[in-house]
Amino acid sequence: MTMEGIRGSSDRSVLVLTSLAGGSKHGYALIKDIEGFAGVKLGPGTLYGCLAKLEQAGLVEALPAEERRHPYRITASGLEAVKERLTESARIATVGLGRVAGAMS
Amino acid sequence: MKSWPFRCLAKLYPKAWRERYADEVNDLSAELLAAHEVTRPRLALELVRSGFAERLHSLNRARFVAALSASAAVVVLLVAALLATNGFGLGATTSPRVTPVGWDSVGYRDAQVSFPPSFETVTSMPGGIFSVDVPSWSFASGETCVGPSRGTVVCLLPLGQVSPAYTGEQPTVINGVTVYRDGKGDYYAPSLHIEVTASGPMAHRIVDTLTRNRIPGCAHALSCGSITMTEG
Repeated sequence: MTMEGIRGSSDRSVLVLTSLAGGSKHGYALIKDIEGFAGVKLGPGTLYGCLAKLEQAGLVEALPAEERRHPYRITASGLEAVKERLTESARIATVGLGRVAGAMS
Repeated sequence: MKSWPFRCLAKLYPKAWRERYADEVNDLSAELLAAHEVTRPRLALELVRSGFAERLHSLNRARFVAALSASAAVVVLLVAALLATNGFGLGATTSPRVTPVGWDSVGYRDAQVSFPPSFETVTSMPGGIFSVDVPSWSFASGETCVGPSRGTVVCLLPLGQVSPAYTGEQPTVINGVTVYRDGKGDYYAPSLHIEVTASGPMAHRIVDTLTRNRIPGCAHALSCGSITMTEG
């Protein structure tokens, strides 16, 4: 999956990459972290479907298992991809918030 | 996959995906259930939905790969067919050339040419092959290609027997064989070590069947096929 792939997918990929940008995590920690900063609770099937695509795209990688649980780590490509996506989102958010503020005043 | 619910739902996922992630999904499901983060029905529903999504994703990718493979195969076949018929016309004129059904193929050295069954083909070793559609016409000599004034006569002769005047001629390609023609009914095929002299209404049609000798057991033979031997 390239940046286009992430752009075309739901925001789940961005949520997972954003979470992993804060450090390596296994599945349960990912779910709790994403729930904490985004208010979105991913199910295990959804989470691993997302991880599978990101891993296939080389944006995340599995680390050696710890007590049967594989932590996942974001790769350099993953950091670049999520940075680009979040920058784009931030630009749109800035423009959108400005226009909304203008409309409400 | 030792505990409910994922064991019974794992089959919903593609095999490759299952082999890689099933244990992790199962462990995470168990962990979420143990922590009362999710109810069993809700978890089962989520796993079913994800399984179908993964299956769909896998199918789409497989179809894409299959379509890509099929397209590549078609392209390869088309290219092969075009090359076989010299359809690209690289540096040569082209025309559809086939050996018609029912025609007799005869070999001479590295060349093969075909004639209608009505033609009589004789050889005067090592002079060449002479084919003519004029009944009862007899070849006076095996060393030259002199035929009757009427009808069609096609002769295959060793290259060089007639002065090779093809230098500088624009070659044409007949069934993959580069041929030089002098405009007087003589065709020179250096790669087959032969030249063809053809005249009459069927001359071009017969020359169009010229190809490398592919008659089983006949390649490089001095002559073979339905050929009548004559005294040279």
